[in-house]
This record gives sequence, C-alpha cells and structure tokens, in this order.
Amino acid sequence: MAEELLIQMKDISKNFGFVKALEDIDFDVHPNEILGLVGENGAGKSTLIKILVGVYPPDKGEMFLEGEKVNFSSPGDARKKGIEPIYQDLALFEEMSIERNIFAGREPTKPVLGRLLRFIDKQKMRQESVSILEGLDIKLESTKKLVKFLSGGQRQTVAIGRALCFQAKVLVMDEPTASLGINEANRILELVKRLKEEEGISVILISHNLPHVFSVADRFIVLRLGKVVGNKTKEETNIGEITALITGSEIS
Amino acid sequence: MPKLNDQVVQPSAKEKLYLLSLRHVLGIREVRALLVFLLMTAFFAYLTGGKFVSVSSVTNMLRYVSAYGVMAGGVTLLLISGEIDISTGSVFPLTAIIAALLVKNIPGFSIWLAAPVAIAIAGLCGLVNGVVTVKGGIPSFITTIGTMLIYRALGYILSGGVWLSGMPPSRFYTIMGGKVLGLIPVGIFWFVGVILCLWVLLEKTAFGNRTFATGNNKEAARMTGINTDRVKITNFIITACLAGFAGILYFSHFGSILPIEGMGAPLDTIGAAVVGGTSLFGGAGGVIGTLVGVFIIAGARIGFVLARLGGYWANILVGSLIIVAVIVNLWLERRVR
Repeated sequence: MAEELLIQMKDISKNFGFVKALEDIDFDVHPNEILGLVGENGAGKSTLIKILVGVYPPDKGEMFLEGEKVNFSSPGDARKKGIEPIYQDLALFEEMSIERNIFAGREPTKPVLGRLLRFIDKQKMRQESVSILEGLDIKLESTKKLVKFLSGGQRQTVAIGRALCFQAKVLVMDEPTASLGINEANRILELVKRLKEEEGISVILISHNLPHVFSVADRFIVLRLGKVVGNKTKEETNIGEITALITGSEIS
Repeated sequence: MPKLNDQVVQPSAKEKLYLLSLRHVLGIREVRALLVFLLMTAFFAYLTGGKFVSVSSVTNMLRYVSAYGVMAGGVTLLLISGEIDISTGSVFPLTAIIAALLVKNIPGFSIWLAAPVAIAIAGLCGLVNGVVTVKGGIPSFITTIGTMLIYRALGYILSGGVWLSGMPPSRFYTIMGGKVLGLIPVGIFWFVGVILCLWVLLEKTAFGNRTFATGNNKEAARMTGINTDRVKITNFIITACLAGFAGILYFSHFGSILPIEGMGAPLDTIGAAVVGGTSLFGGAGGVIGTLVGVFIIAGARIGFVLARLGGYWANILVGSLIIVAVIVNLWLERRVR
C-alpha cells in the first residue's frame, strides 16, 4: 500500500517546549496530485512542512518517500531526494542573475587546465535556465537579468524554475499567490496545474486563499491546533465545509 | 523528468540590443567608477597644470596603489560575502615584521621561506577573524576592531617598536619590489595579477557564486545547501593573506617596515571597494571596480599633494567620495530599473 504513495508521514509529533505543535499527524501525498494544506496560523502547517523538507526532524514518527524510509538531516538532503520547497519570500538572491539564482549551490562545472581547477559551465547554466523558463512560458530579455528587476509573478516563476531544474518529485509551495495581482496569480495557478498534468509532479499548496486552492487542488488536508481535522477530495467537499473545519465552527 | 524544451539557445537580437543599451551599460558599477576616475583625472590635471599626468606622478601613484590595491581586492571579496575586516591594516605590517625577524634572527633562514611562512601566519589571523565572527555569532566589524588592536600590538611587541631594515640582499626583493625598465614599480603587476585572480575566482567558480549568494541572503544560501560558514571563513583567510602579501610587497619595495604602517588601510581599502561599486550590505560588487576605486583614491591623495593643497584635503575628498558613491550607486540602480 505504501508504494502507491509518493510521500507518507506517519504519527508525526513535534513539540517546542510545552507547545504541542503537531500531534500524531498522518500526512500522505499521492503521485500526480495537487494537495491543499490549509489551516489557521499556528495550526501547524509550517512545522509539518519544515519537517518534510528537512529543516528539523520530528520528535516522533516516520517518513517514507516512494515506499522507502527517509531521515533528512538538512534541507539539502531533502532536495537531493526531490522535495523542493518554494518559500513565501521565495528565497531568491536579488543582486544575482536569474541563471545564477537557479543554480546557486548546485553550479554545473567543467574542469579547466587539466583537472587543476573547476569553472562554472556558463553555457550549460544558460541553456538549462533558458530551457526551463521557456517551458514555463515566461518572456524575458535575458537570463543574465538580475532578479531584483523582475515582477512578483516573474520571480515566482524563477523560483519554480529553480525547483524544477533538479528532478523535483514534489513541490512544496508556501502561499504562492499571496503577493500577486489577479492576473499573475491565475497564471501561477495555471502553471501549477500544467506541472501536475504535463510533468507528473505533485504539488503541496499551502495557502490561506481558499478560492485559489480550490481552483487547482485535488484533495485537502486541514490542520487545526496541531491535528488533522479533515482529509477530503475536491468532489467530497466545498469551500464552506473546509472553512468550517479550519475554524472549528459547528456550521457545515 | 523530461526537459521542457531542448533547443540550444544563442543570445537573441533583442537580448543583444538590451546588453548594448545605455541603460544596461550605466547599470554596470565598473563603468560608473571609471567615469568618476576620468572626471577626477581631468579635474586634477587642470588643477595642477598637467603635472598630475606626468611620468613621475604616475609612477608615484602606481607605487601607492600596489600594496593597498592588493588589500582592497581581498576586502572586496569579503564585503561581497557580507562581512567586513578592519584589521587588514594591522596584518599588513605584522606580516612584514615576522618575515624580517625570521630572516634576521634565524641563521640561514632566507626571505624566500620567511615570506610564505609570514603570509601563512597572516592567514591564521584571518582564520581567527573568521571563526570568531562566524562561530561566535559576532558582527565582523566588532571582531575585527578587536583583532585590529591585537595584531597591531603584536607587531609592536615583536619588533620592539623600532624600524626593521637592513636586510641581506636577495633577488626576492627585486622580484617583489623592484622596478621594470627602471621606472615602473613591479608591485603594479602583482596588484593587477591579484585582481585578475580574484576576478576569476568571483566570476567563474562555484565558490564565487556561493560568495555572492551568501552575501545576498545567507538563509536562502544555506537552504540551497551552501556551507555559508565555510564561505565566510575562507574569505576572511583570503583577505588576511592578501594583507600579508601586501606587507611583503611594501617591505620588498622600501626595504624596511615600521609597526605603525598601514593605519590608513581600512579606510582606503574599504573606501576603494565602495567607490568602485561594491555594496557595504553584501551580495554585490566586483574587484574590477575596486581596481578603479584604488586608482581614484591614490589619485586623490597624490593629486592634492601635487596641487600643493596638502594631504588632509585628500581625506575630505575620499570621505566625500565614499558617501557620494554609495548614494549614487543606490540612486542609479533605482533609475535603471
């Protein structure tokens, strides 16, 4: 059964001092699905995601990736296995070019002067950056352009491009539409749908914007006060019910 | 995951046009620094009735530029990674003093060995700066204020506070500090060589990319798997080694060293980097701009002396240039957007 799941997190608990941030959470992601992870601030979404992407380990519980047990000791570890986070602040390098941003930390290199030195393989870096970005349907004058000159939607796309460049199996997107205008937000949501449909990547979408999440997600997991209070497919539910689950009100 | 688009890409016509536009060109820090240098040269050439561009004043400038320039190069790298070092001016004479003492006090110890040993010790100074800052979580400005005093004191203690000179002759001094064609100080070639090596390191290696990333956004850099501690400490070591190397260059040229030397180095080296376009906030800049910045500051110092206005005017100009450079860089960047 576990082999069918892309990611399986079982009985995950995490405490910070006396605060029970997460209590016995079961969290699964199927291959080729867009999963909406929703809940109030403080519900535990960030904590769960940080455990998933390797920022810190759970106090209790296990994680499986494609059926194999995994223990991440660092975000770098999780990325190697194909789990790519895209943070709300995008974690881009403003004063660096698009291509250097995409390859920061994983620069392609080629040997120079026999095997004495290694230089960055600029051509390869360029080609792959352009490829990825054209595939994401973004028009730019040059991948040498500095990220600080890009609009919000363009930056989001570069952040996605960076995540995709490295055999991502699952993208974890934290509030991807929060600072975008209507058009740019729609473009990003379209992009997310295309990534699932055309590239077979799963996406975990964390967002407070329920209409946005509803327009693309296949399934919803609702967290409240550190526990899972709802796990419903799109067909089984509606915005009203999800809202009620988030806030804990009795109206459904 | 299949690549989304497999075509090989050449720069498009639109891209080439953008790269040639005034917008893009003025957006380059080195170009702005060069403009300042040309303006300043014109100003001083006028003020001194052409003496500023005479052979003797130019060779004077080259001498000054070499040692401080090498130091400024290292400092640039460190600034880009998000840290600062004001102890370079103390490591500068300390290294020369150590080398001189090794040669004088250990029979048979040649300068050829003493110099690298002294520079290695300078590297240790840099390691201390780096480890204390990074592992201790202390701002580098504060760490290096402390080490600036400590390393300077070590220089005084070791040398007994006196001038060290009278070294046994050696080809080493000719290679490091002699003159080419009887006129051009050899140090200028060392300076340019060091700048070129640093340029290659910054622009062409993965380490250089990670230096920029660390300075831009340390947390994001760590998230991509970059060991930011190692990047910063390495840059501290490079800066200190270059300060030591500069001390050796200076010592080779002048044949002597005083423990008080190099007091103006922090201002002039960081000033050169800033005037050359490197950001004090980290994450942006370049050594070519610093090269121009060093010439600007050297030019200012020599220009005012030649114009018979005295050295203090130079400090007014240098201080003002630093402030203006930071403001102009920020303003131009917003405009070019």
